[in-house]
Amino acid sequence: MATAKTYDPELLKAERQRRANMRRLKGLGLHAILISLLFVMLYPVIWMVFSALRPEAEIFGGMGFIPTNWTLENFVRGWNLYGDLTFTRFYINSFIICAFAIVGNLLACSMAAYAFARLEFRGKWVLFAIMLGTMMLPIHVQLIPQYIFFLNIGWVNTILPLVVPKFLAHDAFFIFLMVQFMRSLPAELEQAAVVDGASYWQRYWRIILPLSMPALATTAVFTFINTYNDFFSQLIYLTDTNRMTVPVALRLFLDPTSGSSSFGGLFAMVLVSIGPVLGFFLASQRLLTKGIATQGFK
Amino acid sequence: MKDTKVPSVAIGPVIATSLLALALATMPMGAIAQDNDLQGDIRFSWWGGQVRNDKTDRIIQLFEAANPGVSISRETADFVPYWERLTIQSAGNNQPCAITMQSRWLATYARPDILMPLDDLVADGTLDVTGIPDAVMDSSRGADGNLYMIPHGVFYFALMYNEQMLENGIAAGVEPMEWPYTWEEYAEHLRAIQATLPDGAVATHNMGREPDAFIPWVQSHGEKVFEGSEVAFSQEIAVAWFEYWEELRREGVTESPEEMISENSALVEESNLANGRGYATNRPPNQLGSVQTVTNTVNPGATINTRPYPVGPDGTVGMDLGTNGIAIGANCAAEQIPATAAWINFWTQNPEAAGIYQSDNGVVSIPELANAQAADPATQPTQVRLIELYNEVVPTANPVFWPAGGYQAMTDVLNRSYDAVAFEQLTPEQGAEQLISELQQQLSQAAR
Amino acid sequence: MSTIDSSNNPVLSAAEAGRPLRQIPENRSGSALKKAENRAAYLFLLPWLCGIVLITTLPMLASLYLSFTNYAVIGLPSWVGFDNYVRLFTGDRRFVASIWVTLKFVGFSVPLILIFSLCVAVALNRGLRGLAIYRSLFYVPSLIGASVGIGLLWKEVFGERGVVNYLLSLVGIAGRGWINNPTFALPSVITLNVWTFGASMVIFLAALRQIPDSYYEAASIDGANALQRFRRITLPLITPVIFFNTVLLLIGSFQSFTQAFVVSNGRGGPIDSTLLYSLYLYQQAFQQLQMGYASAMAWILLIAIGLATAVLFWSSRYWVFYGDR
Repeated sequence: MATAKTYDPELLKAERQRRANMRRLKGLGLHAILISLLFVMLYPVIWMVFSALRPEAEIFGGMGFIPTNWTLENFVRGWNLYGDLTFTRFYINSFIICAFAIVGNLLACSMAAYAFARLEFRGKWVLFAIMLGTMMLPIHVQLIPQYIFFLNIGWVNTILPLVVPKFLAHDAFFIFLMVQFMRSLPAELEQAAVVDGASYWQRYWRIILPLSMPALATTAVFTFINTYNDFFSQLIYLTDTNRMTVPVALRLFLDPTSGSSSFGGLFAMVLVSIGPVLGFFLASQRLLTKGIATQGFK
Repeated sequence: MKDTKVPSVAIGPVIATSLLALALATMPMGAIAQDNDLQGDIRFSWWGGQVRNDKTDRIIQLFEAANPGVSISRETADFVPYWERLTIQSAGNNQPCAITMQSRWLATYARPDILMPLDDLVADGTLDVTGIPDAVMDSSRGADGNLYMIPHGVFYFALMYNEQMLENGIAAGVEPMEWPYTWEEYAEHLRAIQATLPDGAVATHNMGREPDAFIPWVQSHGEKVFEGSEVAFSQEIAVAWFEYWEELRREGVTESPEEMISENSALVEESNLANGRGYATNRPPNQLGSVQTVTNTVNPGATINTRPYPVGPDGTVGMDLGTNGIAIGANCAAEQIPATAAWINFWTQNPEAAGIYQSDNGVVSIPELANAQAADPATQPTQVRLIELYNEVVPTANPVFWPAGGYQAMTDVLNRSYDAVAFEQLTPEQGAEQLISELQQQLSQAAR
Repeated sequence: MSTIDSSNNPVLSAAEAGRPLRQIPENRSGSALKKAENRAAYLFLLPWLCGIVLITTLPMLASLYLSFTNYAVIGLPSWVGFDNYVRLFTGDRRFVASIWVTLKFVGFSVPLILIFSLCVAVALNRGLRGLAIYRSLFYVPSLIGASVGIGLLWKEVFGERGVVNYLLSLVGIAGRGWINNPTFALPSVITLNVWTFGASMVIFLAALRQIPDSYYEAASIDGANALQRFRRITLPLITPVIFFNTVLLLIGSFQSFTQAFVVSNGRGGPIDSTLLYSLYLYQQAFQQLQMGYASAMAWILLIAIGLATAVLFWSSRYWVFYGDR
């Protein structure tokens, strides 16, 4: 891991100073580039923000990019979808599913990943190929058999079809992600533990998992986002409006057969719905970046 | 703590995971399967946006208040996912008891193992169809002749236009035009109007790819669209249709092919008509209110109005009609039928319910209720116009009987065929040939 | 399959070689250790194995069976043998068209996303002020990329009156409706796909954070410039993650559906120019209700993706370097 050569400490210090200066200068330029890139990329999002903040009838009227009449009415009208159904309920429904899904994926996928990445066993090749293979069949042809299965065990109109599979490591994507990360952890780490007589479980739980924090955090973030946006399963498994989740509710703003649609409400609620995901993402930043490098392992 | 423990310790997470899964499985999940209650606990599904959902919810509350023993579990979705979900539910025999249904899609589901044939329930008075015209009832039957839904709303298709632009045109010498006008007269009218329009505006949306306009064309020329699950219109009539629009397109009376496609799927708010960039188009009449609302903001002072499709050279009217209604799932238990029937009766017959709904999904199917709505001063003028035009066109209308998968197939193939013509990749003849052969192929597959 | 080949794991290779490790009891032979490890591995895999048996296998096998039937979803399937497969390869010109569209889509999307996300990740990996905010903002497109309003937003950019045409009009070019033009529709769908590069970026960033700073310092002293440092240090060290992202992007892009669906309103138009394979499959399954036909398409796709992935795995032994080697 360490470099073979040894360096003069003075030279090293000077080099560090030079690099720091260079960095400051380059930093400014980089900020400028990144900000302009961001503006281009986020233009549609900015447009949506302004649209959500203007009266509904003015959204498509070519009334200029920046609203003249600012209003929050879209947020109020969007939040109260209809009757006594509000986004409060949809958020609660969505978050419950997300919470279970994250716990399930973290636990089950990391266990499977540990076996694939760090253990040797019979049939590993075959099982790994099967694991990858499960990602390759389009979901559309599996929906109906899956639905009939869950219907027959009485799980339709409950959250079970949406969360139990996560506890059974159904998302091969995350197994693969963690395999790839765990695989790149140096072998010496576990070796020391083996020497101390640690069990496989201890090696997994005490050594590999803590070092896989970036992968775990990535898994948590992606699971949250995927589950939170999973429109179709939630549409077919949670049919009662009281169980409705955020992505299903968002679709109800735009019905092409209705005399009217509610863009303002839609844009406002899409923005609000990004909030939790962005918050979750920001909150997990520390974990995402806490890799070997920052833990002082060299 | 040593090696002997190696394999057994790993059981820990397995048990933990399994227990979590088990705990989830046994968690009480509310009212999962309590609908065998004699009092009636039924599921009702419909499609709609925010406004329609609100109205529907209010009507359900009204019904539940009148029938304290009945509780309705609500299932809503927007149009496309609505049918996908119903299809999946039907595959598992888990349809709701009361299913909102549409005549255009009925043939796919109109089989006794998916929807319950309703003739007996109508005959013994369980379902009340008083006042619904026979012609409307007939559009609710399957190919096997059984009645599969109780129609509550009738929708039709018409043209929509900007009256301000028309007045300006007349002031500049365009001749006024009264229905019934023929397709050729209408094209001449559009050409004349085009000359008077401001820059960047077109006289008409290009309807070449749209079934809602193609059907009146075919029928007004004395042809049928389908015969059972066979394509019945001729290749000549399809060629003539494509040429009709290609001429207008080349003359600049209608928009570019790119804009035509985007207009086709545009919501009211984005449409050229509502934004003062177009004189005429073919939006569903129930959008009149919202087109007017957007127009009031963007282009104050302009009025949007609606009028029927042109007639054939010999004056034949080609209007299509569709109905929305409620069907009963074949899996609905016998003890749920009374509550379901009561709900359907309430929805179709109750004046208060009709008053709340305000013909939101088609003009209410009972003429008395429709006329009462039109006469009510509280009803919006655009809504009154919707009912007026309905009364004007219904007597001459000629509803299409859609075969299984027919509407879907027609939309898909007509879109692709005319697009290829408009982008000049196919000639009108080739386009018409493709239209008929691919449409027939899809219909045959659906009928297998 | 070098990813899972752990023969270079020192612990295991030592055991296999029969070299006794310190503190491991003398009587524990290599094979006993192997047996224990085998057992432990299967216990770790147990939830996943349960999932495979209970939840994954049934729908997969059902769809394989359905691919040999005529199944209209409503009603029962009827056995037709290889009929669906024969029809796909002999009588369906849209199927062939969808393959070309998909190959173009994958061929452009995957490299573009890889390059773009790696560049942004490298730029963001410099201890920049406000790193967390940048990272989150670059991730925003991925957050709304699958949401319902996205079709409208895209129209606002590439439509007749979109911002692209506005900018073009400033320099005197009359634009057109890019998303509804047979030539430009697919590029705009690819752009939408590349726009949601956030997931790859996050994975690259996590990998870049694992490279110790001392490597770069040492290289700098040796006179390596930024490009050389990137080529000599960064690139080799993150090959496992490049490989991972490539595999996932490949699997994901072949099945890509949402972008083309929202931009073309579910039609894959104009004139099938955005008819991605999965979109055509969806149309067969849920619009035309030809579920048997769609299942046959799905299994053909599975084989195609499987082959492409196998080639990628085979090639990985030549360009992927693991840190523990």
